[in-house]
Amino acid sequence: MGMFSTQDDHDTRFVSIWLETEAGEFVAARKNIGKPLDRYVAEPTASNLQALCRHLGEVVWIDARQSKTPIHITESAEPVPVAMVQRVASAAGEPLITRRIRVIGFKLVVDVASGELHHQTLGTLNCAASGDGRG
Amino acid sequence: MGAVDRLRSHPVVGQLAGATPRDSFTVITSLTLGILVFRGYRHDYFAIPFQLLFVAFLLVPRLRTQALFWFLIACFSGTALWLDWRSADNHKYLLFYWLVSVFLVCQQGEQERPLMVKKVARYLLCFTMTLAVAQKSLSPDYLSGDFFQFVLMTDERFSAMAALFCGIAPEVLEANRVLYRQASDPVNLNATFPLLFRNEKLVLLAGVMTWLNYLIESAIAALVLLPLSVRWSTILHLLLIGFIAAVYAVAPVLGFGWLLIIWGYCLAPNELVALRLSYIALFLLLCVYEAPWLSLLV
Repeated sequence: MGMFSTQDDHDTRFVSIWLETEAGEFVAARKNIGKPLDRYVAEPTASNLQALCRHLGEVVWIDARQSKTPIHITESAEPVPVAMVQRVASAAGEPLITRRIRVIGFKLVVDVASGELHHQTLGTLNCAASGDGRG
Repeated sequence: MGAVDRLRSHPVVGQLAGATPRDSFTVITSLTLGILVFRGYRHDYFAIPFQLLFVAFLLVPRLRTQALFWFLIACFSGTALWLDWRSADNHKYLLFYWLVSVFLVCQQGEQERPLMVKKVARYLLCFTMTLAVAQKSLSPDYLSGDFFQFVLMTDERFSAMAALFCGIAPEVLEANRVLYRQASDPVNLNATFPLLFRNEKLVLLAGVMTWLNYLIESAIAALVLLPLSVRWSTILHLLLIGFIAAVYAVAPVLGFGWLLIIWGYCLAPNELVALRLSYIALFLLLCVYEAPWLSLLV
């Protein structure tokens, strides 16, 4: 392999983001979240988690079904409503009115001796949502 | 005159083997431009200005030895890297250091360039290998073999190898990858999953890969700074060529492999024409490696 060979890198770190909205609960797609998410995954510190939280509270969320580009983030059997960041403020899609945003950073660890997959939580935070995210 | 001598005296072969300092530097800068064209920085701050610079080079080829040309490329690369520094691959950093080096070499006279480029390539190769060995020595999951077990079980690029050498059916490896993807799904946080499949042969293969990789990198790191005889120098280059040919056959990270090839080319003694030509052949071979050729064997 290349220079650095370890299971513990940004490819094995993930973030689970849940939005509590007036239209129900949504899981957030990573798409368009941008640099704060990349930063947290690369360096999962408490301050980067807070910065991510602040960012998530400021952006405009829409129901992904309203997007022209279909979003597929989950392989789970039961469909879960997906929310995504509206990249352009004037784009189509009714903004979701968020009440609460919950962020959980986790690492997916493979115990190679047993073949077991388990999640190691890196941090959890409830973020203040700014309503429809428009200011 | 034998066939080998006739081949050597062919003007194109002579140019590729760097018969003169100018030829040698032309090959080095051309290969570097090749990396930037095919595996440069994705950020628009690099991609757009580099397109302009590259077209300028096509129109005025002598730009490739102009310090200002490389200074501008290094500046745009540095900007793209700075904006993406957390997620950029580590070889993108190495590429930036190399671009700065090429700029500095271009500031030298034509006769001094081969010596300086050799010196820079030597240090970059040495530090790259030394740091790789240091990281592997300190990593909690490398020397135990866990890292290669992990990639053999879950990484698609290693599937053909696991199937070929460990006798694991491709469908079983695909099932491993599906499980891994499901477990990384944010919706499935805290869910439980069946165990990933592995067998004893996979553990053995991971152990061999771990130590072979570690020992070759250590040997290159140790040898590259020493003043070597032609014989030992040949051994060093054969190790490097073998390392690149084997590692990038499985994990074709072209940008990284190509950089190592350029450094090897810079370091190859002028009289060892075959070595220099081997590096160029290897540069081309890595393009072929991008095809899923290993899976054809399964």
